[in-house]
Amino acid sequence: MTSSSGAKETFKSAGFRAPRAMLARVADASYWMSRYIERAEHIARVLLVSSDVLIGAGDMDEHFARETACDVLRITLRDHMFAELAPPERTPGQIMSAVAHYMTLDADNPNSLINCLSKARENARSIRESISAEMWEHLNTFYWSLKAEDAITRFNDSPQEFLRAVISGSLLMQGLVDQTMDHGQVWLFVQLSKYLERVDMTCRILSAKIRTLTRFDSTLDASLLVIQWMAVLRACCCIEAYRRVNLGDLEPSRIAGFIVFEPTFPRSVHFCVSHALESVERIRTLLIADTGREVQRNLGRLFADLQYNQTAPSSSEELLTFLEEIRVANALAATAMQEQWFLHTNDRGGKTV
Amino acid sequence: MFEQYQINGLFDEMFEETGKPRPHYSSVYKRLVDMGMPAFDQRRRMADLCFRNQGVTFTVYKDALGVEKIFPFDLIPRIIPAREWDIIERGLVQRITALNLFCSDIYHKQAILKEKIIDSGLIYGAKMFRREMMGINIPRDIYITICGTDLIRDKTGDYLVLEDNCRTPSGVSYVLENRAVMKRVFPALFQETHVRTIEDYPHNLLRCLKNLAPVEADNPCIVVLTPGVFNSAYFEHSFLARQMGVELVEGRDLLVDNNYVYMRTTAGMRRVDVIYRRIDDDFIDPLCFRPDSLLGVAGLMNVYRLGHVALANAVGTGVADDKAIYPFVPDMIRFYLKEEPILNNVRTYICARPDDCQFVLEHLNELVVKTTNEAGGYGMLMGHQATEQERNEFAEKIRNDPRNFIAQPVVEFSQHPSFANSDFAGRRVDLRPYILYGPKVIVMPGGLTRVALKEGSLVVNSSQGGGSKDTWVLESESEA
Repeated sequence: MTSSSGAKETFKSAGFRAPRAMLARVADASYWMSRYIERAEHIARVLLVSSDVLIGAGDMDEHFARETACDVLRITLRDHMFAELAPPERTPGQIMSAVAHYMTLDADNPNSLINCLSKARENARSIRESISAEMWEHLNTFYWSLKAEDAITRFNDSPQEFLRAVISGSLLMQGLVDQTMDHGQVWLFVQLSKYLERVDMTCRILSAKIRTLTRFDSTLDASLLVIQWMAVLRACCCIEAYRRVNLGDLEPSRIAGFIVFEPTFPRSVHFCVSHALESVERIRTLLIADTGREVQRNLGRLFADLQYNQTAPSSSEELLTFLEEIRVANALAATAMQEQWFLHTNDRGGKTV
Repeated sequence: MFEQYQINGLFDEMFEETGKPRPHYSSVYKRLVDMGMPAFDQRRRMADLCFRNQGVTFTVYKDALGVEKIFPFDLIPRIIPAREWDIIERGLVQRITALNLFCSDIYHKQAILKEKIIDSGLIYGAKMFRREMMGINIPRDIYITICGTDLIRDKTGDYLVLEDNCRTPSGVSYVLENRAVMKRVFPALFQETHVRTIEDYPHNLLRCLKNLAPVEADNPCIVVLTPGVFNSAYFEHSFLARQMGVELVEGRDLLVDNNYVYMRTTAGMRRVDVIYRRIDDDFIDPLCFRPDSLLGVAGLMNVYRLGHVALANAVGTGVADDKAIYPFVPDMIRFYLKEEPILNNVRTYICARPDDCQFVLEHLNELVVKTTNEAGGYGMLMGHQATEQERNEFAEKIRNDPRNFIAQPVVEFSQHPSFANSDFAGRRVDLRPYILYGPKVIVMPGGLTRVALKEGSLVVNSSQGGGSKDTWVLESESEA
């Protein structure tokens, strides 16, 4: 082979490659895998922070302590479990451990950590050939660590360590996603889904905490209130970043503003929506075919809202409405995504709605 | 470690009758003895953990959910010296070549029937004979792209063919994973023994599949078709797709439009050229075969018959691994290749022949009776282990439908030291090498050694409590 034809070969192979089509089912499974892992991380963090607050806060209004222990049930829409998990004769500490157990290892709770991870793994298992071996092995090991016979003992020995392990398991997964798989379509779907779930969970956590805190606002003393608002920031994983920006000024509307609007912090709603939108745009470019317009429209509108509306409403009433609007727009994008990319509602042979 | 070891009067893979290890096992034997039981046990647990964490599992159907289990893995490798392997390899190449010619012949000219070498009643009576394939030309005339042939060794150490699996033989992923784990657990042992590599199998498989693509497809789209995540061999389907870098699809991912097969992607429909299907004929197209199948693709057979898609293995290969056809494979080799078979069959009585049937019914207590169309160790009678009542019931079944049964003498096949109840004991083993028929025929050096982990058991199937071993074929210069 002459050198000139060799160069031509290299040029050709390095040139434009038509994007490889991705099975709609694979996109669907990667979506759920990603969402469930993200969800598990948030639930674990809320549990961790709530139990930490209860342990560390000394004499707390008992009624308030009970509510704090039950926050996670509200966040995950398990309100109907209140009666069973928090009967009046139980102390807040007992309630907390009952709730933590329910949210961690209970097989009957669809949102328990074990169920989230089972579903994440089951989805990953159905697309093993599309994700990296490292991701699969980690997720599988992660799953077995919760499914193992000694999981309950480890949980009882130290719930905190257990929850911490879940959080780092999720973070490690994100690192593996980033560094071991091709940043192609599957990766973009994983990213997009992660950010959609994060927006949803962050809004839920924030709303639940605001509701509890405003209900007890007048009865709580100042130092307890500070701890509570710090807990909100910790549950959203942004206390350090917040301190650096606001120098420890723990004012509720600022906190909400940070969690919603901070453009450069990866846990803020603004950041997540902007990255989700970017993923959508890149997916649409890769697909060439003009699908996913609705997804982009929903996210784009939400992003514009966040971008041009830089302060959070100051009254908690309005703030809750605002958070609900974000959640709805976010959910619409997720629905559009399923319809346009996974179910092919407009394609031949696809389902017609 | 081997103080209590019993040869049991069988052919032992590792030890000679005197109890001395065979030369090709000497380094492994020495290492095991030096290692001692506690260290061995620790590595055994390490291997189990590797399998579990990597999700190398199969599903046992017990309840609605199914239970995921590790395929039990026995750490002591089975070793085959080069000169023995050479015979096996030549024998298998000869066999798959003849079987492919046979399939082509059966679905076209039927010379072997016209020459009265096989009774045509046996062919048309085979459940897996597909009328739908008569006169259909398939890509490159290759029916069996992937074949897994089960071998056993008799008391004298001769290799015999027990059966061919010409439809969708499974297990190759365990062979590759077993090897990967062995390398992790016993790295030093590999360095001192010269073992032939098997890691190019997925590459070779992909080449064979590409070979089937219609000529006009310059960048063919190849997929692996699986029944889905609940199938017991799902791990393998996913493994092979991953190793080959092709899409793993389920029936619902595919659709037929205007005589082509497409897969549903995020960017719309994409044409599929070659399907490595891991779904049986019966389920592959509800319009052609079982109408209640939800696993297949409606209209696929039509596309296939038009030559717009290739299937591996072809539809209708079940006629070649029917147990009542199996006894004729040596005749096929003589007929098509004008050669003498290199590997022998196990003596087989065909109940469809009145003389054989009479003999079988009179000697039920000495024979193994098998249903001709079942796989996985189901539908068998082990005459010498069965009760009087079981034998009578089976005799009744044979009288009612003789075509459906064959019988073979009980072969006392070889044993191999295996880990059982915290010590080493002899357990029966077979061997399933995988043969790929593509631009040339490639036999994977080694294969799946299955071991019957229950004491005294002769059944090695994973669904019946069998395990597996890594199989080492030695490079020629390292016999000792």
